[in-house]
Amino acid sequence: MFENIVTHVGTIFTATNVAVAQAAGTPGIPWWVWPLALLLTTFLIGIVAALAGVGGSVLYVPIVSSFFPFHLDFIRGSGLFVALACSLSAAPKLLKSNYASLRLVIPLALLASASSIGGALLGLSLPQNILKILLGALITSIAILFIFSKNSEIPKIDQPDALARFLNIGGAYFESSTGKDISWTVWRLPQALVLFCGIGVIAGMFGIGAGWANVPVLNLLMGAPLKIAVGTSMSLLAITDTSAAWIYLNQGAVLPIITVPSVLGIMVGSRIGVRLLRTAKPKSIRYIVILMLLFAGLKSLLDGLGVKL
Amino acid sequence: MINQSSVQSNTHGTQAKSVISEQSSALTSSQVSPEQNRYASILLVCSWGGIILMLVTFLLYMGGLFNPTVQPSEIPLYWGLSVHKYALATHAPSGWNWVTMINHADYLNLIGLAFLGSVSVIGYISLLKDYVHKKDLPYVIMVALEIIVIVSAASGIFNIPAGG
Repeated sequence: MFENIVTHVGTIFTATNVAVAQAAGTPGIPWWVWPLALLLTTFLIGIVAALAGVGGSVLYVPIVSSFFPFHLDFIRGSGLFVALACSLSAAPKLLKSNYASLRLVIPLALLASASSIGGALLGLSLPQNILKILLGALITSIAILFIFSKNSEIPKIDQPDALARFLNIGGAYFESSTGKDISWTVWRLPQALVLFCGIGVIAGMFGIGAGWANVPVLNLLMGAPLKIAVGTSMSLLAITDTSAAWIYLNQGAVLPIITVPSVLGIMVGSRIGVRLLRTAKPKSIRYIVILMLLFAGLKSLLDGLGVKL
Repeated sequence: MINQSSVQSNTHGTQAKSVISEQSSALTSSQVSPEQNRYASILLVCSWGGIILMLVTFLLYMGGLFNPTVQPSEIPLYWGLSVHKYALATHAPSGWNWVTMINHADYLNLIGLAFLGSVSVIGYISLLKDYVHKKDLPYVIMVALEIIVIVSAASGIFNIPAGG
């Protein structure tokens, strides 16, 4: 039954995007069709993203820019609010369950949010075709990263570095599968801080959140357990994306008619996706997401190069 | 070294155990710190408040109430333009000037979004108070700097001139 639901979601998603793509080239479409189509599309993105364990905005920006007639400036502005709203709604539970650590969030968020301002300014200054080429290359790279990256549930680490010790970063969380507390700490904090500067620039520039990059850095480089990496990443986004979101808002690059249906659609969709997750963990949906990212990334790349499909 | 494929149970590797034993007892308890708990509660209440505000103002806009400067039906003429061209075509205000236009439904909508953008700062102010109280100087400095970063971004001092 669950596999049927996943298949239906995938089918509806494809059909919606095809219909939207056809409508985009058809004059005379009533204006209200667009926010409704956006609500449905983002609702489905929310389900797929939750099932695949990725952030909604990493799918939102490339897919909406591929199939909807909105300028990339407004899509990126909305993408940041999508990531921000998803993060704000998920972070409280993660923080209260100790799946996220504020002592880890605060130093990383400081550099990421400051650099996301630079990314946002850069993104708003570049011509759309250059941005589409860069976005296409980035999304294609993320798809490849998803194919090859293998997270570690609880990585083995050496001694925490001096900075992590000085900041007293570490903690424990309750692992329900074993019924015991798992203690953790991190290392390589200085290297991670440098990487988070780059992640902030990319998040601000393309409006795609940064969970896809946060989790591997926290888990594979810093040695945080996977649950802590995911929870901390989600809590980080609420801060990283806030700075960049303000730049877009002040610049006028946030149109409520695009942003509000997107935020609502993804939030409702991701909640349903999380409920579906309790039933099963379909690996196939991850491959669908990778294919969608590859398609959207290559389309963005070709659009930027002026090649029409 | 990091073993990227390792999946451990609650029995940690000896290296990890030795490391953890050096941490303070506070770090080996799964109890949430009071400041983290308070911060999470602030995010929870404020984010839902922002989302409800956003939804209500959006419904007013879609209903054609509060005299929007650009009617929803006219937006498709402009949403394909870059933000700079959009601003020129619709005489949209920049920075915080939209606040003076919240009697129009399209700008009234921005209140909910701006509130969502302020939630982290509200939470950080609470954290600042807690870390000052605990005399945790590194975190006092970092939290204060973060507030400055977000408030600077929100202030509109980072502005790109039209055509930039």
